[in-house]
Amino acid sequence: MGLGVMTRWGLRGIFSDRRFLLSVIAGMLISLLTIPLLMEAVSHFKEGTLLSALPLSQKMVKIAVVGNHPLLSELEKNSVVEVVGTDEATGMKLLEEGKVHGVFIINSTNGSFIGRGIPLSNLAESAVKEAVDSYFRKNEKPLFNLKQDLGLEELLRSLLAPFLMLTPLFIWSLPIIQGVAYERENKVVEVLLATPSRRFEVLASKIISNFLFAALLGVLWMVLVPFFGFHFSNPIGVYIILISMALLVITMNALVSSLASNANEATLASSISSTIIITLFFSIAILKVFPATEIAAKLSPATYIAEQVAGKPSPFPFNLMIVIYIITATAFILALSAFSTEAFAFAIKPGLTQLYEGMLEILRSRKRAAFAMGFVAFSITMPLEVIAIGLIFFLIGPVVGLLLLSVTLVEEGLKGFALRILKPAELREGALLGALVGFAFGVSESLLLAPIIEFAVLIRVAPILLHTLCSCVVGIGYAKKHFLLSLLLAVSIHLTYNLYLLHFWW
Amino acid sequence: MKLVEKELREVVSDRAFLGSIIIQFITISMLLFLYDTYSEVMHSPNLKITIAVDSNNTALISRLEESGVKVIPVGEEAGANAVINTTTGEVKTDPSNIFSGFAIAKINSISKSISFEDALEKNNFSYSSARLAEGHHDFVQMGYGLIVPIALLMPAMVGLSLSIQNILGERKKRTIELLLVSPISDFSIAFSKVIPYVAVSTLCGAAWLILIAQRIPVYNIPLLVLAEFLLSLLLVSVSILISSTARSMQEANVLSSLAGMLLVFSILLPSSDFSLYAPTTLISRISSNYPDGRMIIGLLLLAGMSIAVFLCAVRGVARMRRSYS
Repeated sequence: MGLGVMTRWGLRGIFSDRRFLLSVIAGMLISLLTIPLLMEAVSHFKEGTLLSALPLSQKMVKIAVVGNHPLLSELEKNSVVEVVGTDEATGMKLLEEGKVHGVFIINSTNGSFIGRGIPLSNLAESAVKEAVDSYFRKNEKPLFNLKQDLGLEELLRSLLAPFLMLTPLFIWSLPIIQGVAYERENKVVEVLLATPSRRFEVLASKIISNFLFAALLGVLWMVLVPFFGFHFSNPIGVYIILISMALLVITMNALVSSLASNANEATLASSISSTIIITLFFSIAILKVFPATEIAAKLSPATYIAEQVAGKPSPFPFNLMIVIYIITATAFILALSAFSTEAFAFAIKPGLTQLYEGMLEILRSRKRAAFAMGFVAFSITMPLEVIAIGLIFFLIGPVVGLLLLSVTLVEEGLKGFALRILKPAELREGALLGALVGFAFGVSESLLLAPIIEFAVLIRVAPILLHTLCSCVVGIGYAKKHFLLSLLLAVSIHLTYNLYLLHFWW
Repeated sequence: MKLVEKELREVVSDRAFLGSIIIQFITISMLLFLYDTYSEVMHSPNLKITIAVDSNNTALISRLEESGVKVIPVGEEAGANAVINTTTGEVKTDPSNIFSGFAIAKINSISKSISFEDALEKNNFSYSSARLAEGHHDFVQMGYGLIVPIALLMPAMVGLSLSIQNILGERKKRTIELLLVSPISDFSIAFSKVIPYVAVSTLCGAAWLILIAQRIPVYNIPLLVLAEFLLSLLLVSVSILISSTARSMQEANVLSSLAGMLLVFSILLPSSDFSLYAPTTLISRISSNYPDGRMIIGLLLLAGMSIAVFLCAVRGVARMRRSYS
């Protein structure tokens, strides 16, 4: 049986379940209706946090008001606040009993707020101060010819758009769990594996059929979204990003379903992995706030979609596509490795060693496996580096040396971990496998950076050689039973190079 | 009771459940970490807001600088969070940068010709505040409006997801048939399937509340635990309904995703008098306020809804029994 036949089977299976299709359409409609609702909330937003505009914050703080003043009408307009009119003695009693978060005593010339020393009192006080401010300054002339609408609503719209655009991915990627985990549990996969088809074809057909299903729904989604309030400068670009993310989530679901011991575990683990992937890709967008990490923010679909909704003619993010496809390819190799293990066929959870054995089975050579491991290590490196950089930046500050050290440790550590799985026994083998892991790692890193640095070809030769050399050292160290020492040496070489590069650029 | 005990044992030993606890713990810890550090980070000198101004409007520049903004001239605006064109009054920002919002808020607050203090003096009004918590508390609204509701929603959603998988698993293995042909009543079957998940979700929710209370002064923990119990009862009963009516695994999965999406949808409904009784707003209010009549009405409404859906779940079991017989 060929790939095409099995893909058609898969598609027929998905489209024959009408109740499932109706539920998917219902889910998409709910997501679509969410857009105008959220935008309505955004239109009420003025200052503070977006939460102020949502019912979640409604009457979050209670303020006892003593006295009367026209500015109180400004305070009552604030949905976060519940105002209780009272006299001073009762107000102070309510405050002592913890029944209100603050007391605001006001007369024609004086207003004083008394809190309870808790954070909620600060929230109440900022609402009171905002009311005083807007009452006394509302008729003042502006400092310059400031437009009423500063674009805050548009800004929020563009920041929220990516989250809403990618919501349906969770339901579009469900059929693959059925195709891998449930079919395995129902023994349908056994029948498929008994046919002369290659395992690659069986898994690829399941992923392709789910991808085609998602791509079709993606077209419907992109056609409907403008009617609910989102317009893009380049809808095709957004669609490509959307379905590329869908392919990534589908492949990750295939990997998780192949690794899980049963269908229940697969379903739960898939929803967790999808959430993590989407959150991680989105959190990269926040790197835009620091000039030093601004370039990395382009690796988030959130950045591109936000710019598109704002009508900014931003160039298509090719480097983001490369990242998505490198991770997708890695997930596919790993899923296929798990799918090819005997453990999978017998419905047992494949372990790490079996996963490597599965990889060896499909790649048929340790050298190729080492090369693939380089890509795997690179895919895992990226999220870990983002977390490490974020933690150091927030906890310690922008200490360049520490940031470089953390990045180097993550990169060399993961390449070293790949070599521990490869277990080279001899010196030559260690050097070769290490060099291959490092070479693949360096190549994928260069592919990622290529669209950013135009003269990448020349500049990236040195880093590829560096990665190859460092991993070669670790490979030799592992074979000679000096793994930790060699890892330390590799980190030192890598760090020295990074520091030199930094010095050179500055 | 024996059935409940058996189901409870199965839930507690389920690896997926244990995994979900770890994920929930990590999520809440990360949110608490953000709660602790967010305000400090926002006020950190590392994150200075930069605004480019096109003219030599000294009043505007000094006001911006007083509010902690770094002002640069137009033309050198690389890295600026906003660019002000004083002639047209336009403010240009980067739509994909969250810091643009802070820049706009700063511009808005300094845009009037006189400052807050001068406005008070001009109007012969004095304003003072006392007994506030020390430090920056920009994240306080997120604490009660986001972290507490998330901490209670997550265990209930996990309860829904696990209970669907449990019944679907039993339907697939046909072990549910043994239960359905036994003389055990529909109510007892539904009860034994619902209570273990509700119990573990409530316990989880209570544990997360205790964890959160170490950082955020949460009001009314017992009432919040009650709200968690009712919310879990509602969602797990929904899961029994879904799993007893769904014809395929993926249909059940997509329906459970729909239940989650509807919950998010309910959060976004426009503010009204009714939204005070929506489960998420109710949780947020209970956690931040002294108990009042509206909270009790909200809890009673939630209880009524949970019991009604549970009774529907009992009917769902009866339907499943009829289809098997």
